[in-house]
Parts: sequence; structure tokens; C-alpha cells
Amino acid sequence: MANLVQLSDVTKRYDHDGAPAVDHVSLAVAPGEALDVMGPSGSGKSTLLNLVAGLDRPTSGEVRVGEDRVDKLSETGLARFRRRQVGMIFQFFNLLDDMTVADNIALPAQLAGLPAAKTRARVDELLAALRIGPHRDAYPARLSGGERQRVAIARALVNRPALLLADEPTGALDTATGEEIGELLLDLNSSGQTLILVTHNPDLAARYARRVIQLVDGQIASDGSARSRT
Amino acid sequence: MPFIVAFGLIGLVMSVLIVANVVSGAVVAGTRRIGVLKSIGFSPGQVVAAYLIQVAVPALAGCAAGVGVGNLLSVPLLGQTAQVYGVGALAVPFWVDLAVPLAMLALTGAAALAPAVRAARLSAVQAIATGRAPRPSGGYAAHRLLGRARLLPRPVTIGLAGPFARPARTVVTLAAIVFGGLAVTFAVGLGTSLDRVEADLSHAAAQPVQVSLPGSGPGGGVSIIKPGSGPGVSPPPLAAQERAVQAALRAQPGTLRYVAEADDQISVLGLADRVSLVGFGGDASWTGYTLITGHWYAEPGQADVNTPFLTATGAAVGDTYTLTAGGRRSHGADRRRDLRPSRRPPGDHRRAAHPGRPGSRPGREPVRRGAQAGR
Repeated sequence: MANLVQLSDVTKRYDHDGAPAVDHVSLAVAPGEALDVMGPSGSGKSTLLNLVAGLDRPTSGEVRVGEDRVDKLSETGLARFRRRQVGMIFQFFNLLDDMTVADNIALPAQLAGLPAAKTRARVDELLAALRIGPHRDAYPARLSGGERQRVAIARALVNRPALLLADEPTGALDTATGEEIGELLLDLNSSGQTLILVTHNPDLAARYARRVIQLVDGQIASDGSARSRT
Repeated sequence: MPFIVAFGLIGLVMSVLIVANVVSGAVVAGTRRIGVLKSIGFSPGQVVAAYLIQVAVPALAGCAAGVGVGNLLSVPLLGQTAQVYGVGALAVPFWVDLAVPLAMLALTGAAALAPAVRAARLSAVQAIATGRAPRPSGGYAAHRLLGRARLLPRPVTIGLAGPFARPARTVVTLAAIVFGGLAVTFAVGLGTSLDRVEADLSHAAAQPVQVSLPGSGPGGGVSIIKPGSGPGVSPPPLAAQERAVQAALRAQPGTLRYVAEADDQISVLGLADRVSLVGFGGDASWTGYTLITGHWYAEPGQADVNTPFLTATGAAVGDTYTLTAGGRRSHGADRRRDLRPSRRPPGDHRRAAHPGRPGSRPGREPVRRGAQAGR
């Protein structure tokens, strides 16, 4: 089976003199796989995720997602790639506060050119699946952390992306809410969604990811299966 | 006309600076939002479009309102202008109502383009990660220097160093304020100057008066009889008439000073058109003529001239002229002074007339008065 994500000897250096944030990393992620990227602060976890998402360009090496050679795309091409192939979930949700829940979720679909009727139907589907239907017309400021993260997940899934990227999705949530979100991501992966998850929480990694790689100083220190889920 | 154009240009420049500043501020304030938009698939072009449209909507409303208000305000102004020039009804041309909004929209878009492009080029990663605009490129030295200022409170020194952190925005803000001050100064100065020109041209220091001598006409007084107008009646000599007029003026309570004045048309060598000459029968330096250079004529052979005269003759203060009036020529080494220019076009050298004012016509030998100046 062809890999969905392929990183080949990727290096990212922000400062010519300083140490690279990602140092000669090669990585492959199969379709439907749930990968957890762990490591201490400053190890390059978020940088790696940004390179896969096309939010940043590698200093050297190749980044492939599906059929796209991400590191070679133009700015417009990257925008199109992010609309269609990737859904991103952030630690602090990054919702647009002046738009309702429904509008936040619909925005990527509208950018991708999905017809209005299909957009509405898809939004309704996600609102129901993530149990945030009652908040359809509410603004993000009125929601709890867990509810906002559900809205962010719904927004990330609206265009049925091949790849879901989550950068510390439970970092801003309490334990119980974090577990809810973790379960949600697990369910998504169980239904075939490819997931790359960045976290520094080993329990989260053990529970919700099949494979864990450890990054230390921008290099992969270990790459193995996670402990079996309970 | 040049003043109106100048004000228009100042307004345009200020509009551009304000728009650029506002959009630039919106980009800085919306950095995190730009990062989020880019992360979910906004292309750089779409980010630019979003910020341009953000400005275009109020610009469109402003242009529409400006055209409407401008047309309304022009009604009384153009009405007055038509009355002054004695022409038919005036109105703002239709093409102005179309061209001005289009030009303003184009100018607004151009002003917003640079900060909008800067927004499109923002790093989404940095914008999302830090939630703020890129680190300012300068201002560190100012912060360090002002941080050492012991006499100033710390909040003051932090505020003083702030503008140096974003020099481009500071320059734009400064330029907008400078142009605003320029406009106000220009308007006040222009108004003051025009008021002074009006006062000088009207010779407010002096008022021409018409004297009715005792026994003249209905109600008594002596009439100034034109030669040959009555059977066997000879007009009194000019000198007698003048003495009577001066006596009448002295008799009036509140008369501080008086001087006789007469005018005529004379020829100047080198000028095709005749020139208006105004002569005075005494010291007239107090009558309100404002001198630009030199001093009031003080001796025979001197005269004061206005700027159009010097321009038409190509001469300067101190030159000599040959004047011709009534077949007589007068020469002299004149020390001319430059008067304030008349309201009339440069080719018309007559002194500005004041419709409705009674004139003083003590005699009809203006040539002699003009010749006195040339003697």
C-alpha cells in the first residue's frame, strides 16, 4: 500500500547558524494510520507537522502527501492543498470569533467551492456527529473549551481530508474534556481517517495512537508501536 | 483656482495616508486571524482581496455620500458665483460625479494594496503560533536609550520608544498629521491674506465723499455750473470751488484729514494702452494704499505704480517714464513705489472702482495734477 505521507531526509533550519528544528527526518505514514509525534519542548514536533501541512517549507528534502509534492507547491497551490487534503486542529482551537459555529465549519467548504446546499448538509452532518448541533448559531466565545475543540474538529473534517493533523488537541482542555476529544479522534481513526497527532502527553499517545515516534533535537529518536490501548 | 486645486490635492494625499495607516493597523491587529485563514486554505490572493474589500466598502459609501453632499453644498456656492459673474445657472458637471468616485476608489485601493500584500505574505506559522505580527525590525536602540532616562517616568519612555518599533507606520502617521496641519495653516493664511488684500484694495483708511456746497441745488447751496449752461452765468473759478469744498469739509465735525483726488487716462511710452493716473492735491499717504516696496512719493517727478504696470513695462522701481496727457509730455527721474496690484487684469491699469460710492470731482484738470507729479 502506497504511503499517504512521505518525508524524505527533510531538514528545516530557521537560523543559518543555529541548530535545525528538524534534522534529516525520513518518515512514512500509511493511509488510515494514527501516528503520535512526541518529544520535549523544542524538539521539532510542531515544525514537523507544519511541514506536512504545507504551512512551512523545508530547507532541504522532500515532503509528499498523496499525489502532491508539498515542498514544491506555489503559495496558491499550497492553499488549495490545505483546503482539500489536510484538516488542521490546533491547541487553542483558532476559530474565527466573529463567525458563528456553523459559519466556522462551513468556511473551508466554501473556499473549496462546494455548492451551498451541499455545504449546509455537510455542516449539519458534522454538527450532529460531534454533538454540537444546539450551538449552530452561537459564537465561539460562548462555548466551553471542549465544545470549541469539537467545532475545530468539525471544521477540519468538512472537506473530508485525506489527512487530519492535530497539534496538542487536548493541551488547553481539562482532563475529562481532553479524554472526550481523544475518544473522538480515536473514533475517527477507527473509521479510516489518517491521523498525525502531536502531543507531549504519553498517556494520550498510548491510548489514541498505534504508532509513536519520539523526536529529540529535531531527529527521530525512536519509532515504534504504542502500548496497546485499554 | 490654484488654491482650490491645492486644497483638493492636500485632501487626496491625506486620504491615501489615512487609508494606508488604517489598513496597516488592521493587518497588525488581525495577524492571528490571517494565520488561521491561511491554515484552512486561504490563498495569498484571497487574503489581499479580503483586506481590499474591507476598505472598498466604506470607501464606496464615503464616495457616494461625498458626491451627494458635495453637490448639495455646491448649490449655494455656485449660485453666488453665478450672481457675481452675471452668468446663468451653474452646476457640477455630470462627469465629475462619475470620475471623482472612481478616482477615489482607485486611490483607496492603491493605498490599501501595500499593507494587504504584506498581510498575504505573513507567515501563517508565526501568526498562529505567536498570535501577533512579525517582530518589529527596529526600535531596540530607542528602547535602550530611553530606558536610561532617569528623569522621565518609565511608562513615558516606553511610549516614546514605541514609534521607532514600526518606523513606516510612524512616518505615514506623521505625514498625515503634517498634511493636516498644512491644510489648516494654508486655509487660515489664505483667508487672512485675502482679507488683507480686500482691505488694501478697498482703501478702507479713506472714504471718498461728495460735498454739496451751501446754496447748491434743491435746499440751497452753490451749484457747480458747467460752462455755457446758463444765460450769462459764468462758473466760479476752480480755485474758488476748491476753497469752498475744503471749507465745507473742515466744517464737518469728525473730519480728521482730507485730500483732493482726480484721475485721468494718460499714455506711457512703450505701452499700447492708456494708463489710469490718479492725482492727489496734497499728502495722500494716509489714504490706505499699501506699499510693497519703497515709500510714498514725496517730491515732484515721483510717482507710485502698481505691479501690473511694472510687469507691462518690464521696469523696476527707480526707472524713468515719459507720460503724455492732453498733448503735454512730462519727464522725470521717478522714484516709483510698487503699490498693491489692482483687482483688474494686468492689462487694465485703471484703479479699482467701487460701484455705488460717490466720487469726489473737485475739478476737471486732472492733467495738471498728473503733470505736477512729473514736474
